[in-house]
Amino acid sequence: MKARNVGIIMLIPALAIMLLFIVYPTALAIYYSFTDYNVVKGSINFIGASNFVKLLSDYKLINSITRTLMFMALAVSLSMVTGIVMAVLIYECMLGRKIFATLFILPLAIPYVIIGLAFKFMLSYDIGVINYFLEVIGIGRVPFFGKPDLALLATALVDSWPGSAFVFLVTLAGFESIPRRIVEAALIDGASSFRLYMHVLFPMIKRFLVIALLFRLLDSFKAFDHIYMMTAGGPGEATQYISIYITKTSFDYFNLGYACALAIVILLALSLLAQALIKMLGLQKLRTTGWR
Amino acid sequence: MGWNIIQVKRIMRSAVVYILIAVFAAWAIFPIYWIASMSFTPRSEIFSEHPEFLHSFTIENYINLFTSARPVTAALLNSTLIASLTTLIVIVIASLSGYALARFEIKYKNNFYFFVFATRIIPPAVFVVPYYIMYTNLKLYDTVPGMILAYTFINLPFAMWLMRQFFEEIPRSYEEAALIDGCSYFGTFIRVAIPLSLPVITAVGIFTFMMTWNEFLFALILTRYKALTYTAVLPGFFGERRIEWDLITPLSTIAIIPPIVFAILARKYLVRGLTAGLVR
Repeated sequence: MKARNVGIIMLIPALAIMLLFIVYPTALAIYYSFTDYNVVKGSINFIGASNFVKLLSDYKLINSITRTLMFMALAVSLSMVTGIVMAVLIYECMLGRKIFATLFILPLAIPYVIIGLAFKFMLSYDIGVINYFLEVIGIGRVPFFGKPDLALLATALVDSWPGSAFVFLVTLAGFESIPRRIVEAALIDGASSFRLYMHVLFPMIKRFLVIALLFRLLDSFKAFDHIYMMTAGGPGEATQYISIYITKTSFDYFNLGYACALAIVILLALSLLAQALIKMLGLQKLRTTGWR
Repeated sequence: MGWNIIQVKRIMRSAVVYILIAVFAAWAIFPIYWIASMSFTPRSEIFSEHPEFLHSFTIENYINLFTSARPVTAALLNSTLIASLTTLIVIVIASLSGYALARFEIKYKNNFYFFVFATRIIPPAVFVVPYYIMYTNLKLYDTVPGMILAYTFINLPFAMWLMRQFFEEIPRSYEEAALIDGCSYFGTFIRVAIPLSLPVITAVGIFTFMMTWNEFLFALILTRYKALTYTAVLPGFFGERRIEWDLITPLSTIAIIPPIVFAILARKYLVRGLTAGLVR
């Protein structure tokens, strides 16, 4: 059989699944976005593009995006700094490297739901261990989820718990990819630790750091499970980041058509972003030759 | 006599490093430790304002969890079943398609990069409404096969990426030798490529299992009674007046054991999976 045909046949299962889960739902979403589908009343009318027009002036959406950006800035910077520090520590560590490294990446194994639950419990005003500790040392209890600013801080902190583990992993991988002899050459030439890191190690792992930053940004943008468990968007709308906002809109049963319109717009925007990122990172040069 | 300044500096530096490592290790471990520890704490102490670090040990929470009216055992079994089958299916399909993309000349392969990247960028919440409608239409709602299908879709892009990456790096000479000896294209796939790719397959398997086991949103949206996974059961513990931490903690402790075990045993596979050949 011609090689190309074998290849195509091998691709059929994957293609089938992709088609089912991309084409069908997108078609559905496009269809419903032009209606005012109301699950409760069961009515469905064609209302043209009015959902999309509504989107443009939706101040709740804009607020949600702003909040998401603030959250992202906080969560990403926290996790980048912490993760890099952790990587440096492990790189400097002589004894027990493997054990500590394994401990450091453990947060990545925990489901985000449970992360949210754990921190909700620990940061709880009355029964949380963190607040108990704060009370004991004299600072007094803090309503982490009661005030909007504190909630933003708390959610960013929680997001950086697995986030820093990720940054740590990538940065350490970066450090370890540098050939030992380069490090030794620098040390022999009399480089101080500071110099070693600033002028040799960090410049050499720029690509790793970019990857870490990029994925941290993407993951904090998508944040849902832990936020949902901890605050469900509250107090008020203080932590209603974009994923939570979409979910809330989607299940506001008066608005399924609107939710679909929202989904379509976000999909388009993110697809453009994906295109831009691919060009920027130079990823699109795939080898296209092969067996025919 | 005594130590000179260089040695003192070195010792101090090591001390600082180790102290800081201890601090960060505590930060990394504490939430896990706390949840596990609370799961063995009597209910009254869980809800008190003064948590004791040396509390009495009891397994009453676990007993209460499994004798409560909630479908805990069913949910855990579902999670195991769904995660395992999804992993199997993803491995098979990802190897097939990864190999096809790496070896054969097929048009539109570049769209593939875009697609994988897009799935990493787009929040799953965006798909919630269309998937709910689609699943209801196709009668896949609240079914185990339905969940397996959904999770296969979620994990496939990344798995395909990893497999393709790996197959690109195997020299074609092995397969060409087999081809010259009369093996079919598919035959070389089975007999040459697969055996060589067992480490990557392991990485893909571990990663897929963990992703599926930990997934929340789709479990919440697309299940109701029969196909519940443990993640979908968790919000059910948020009661009207209080949150049943005494039941949440044992369930959480049980649920985090598989991913933690995987993470410990397969640390280097995690690294490979997460950095995914994006860095060379």
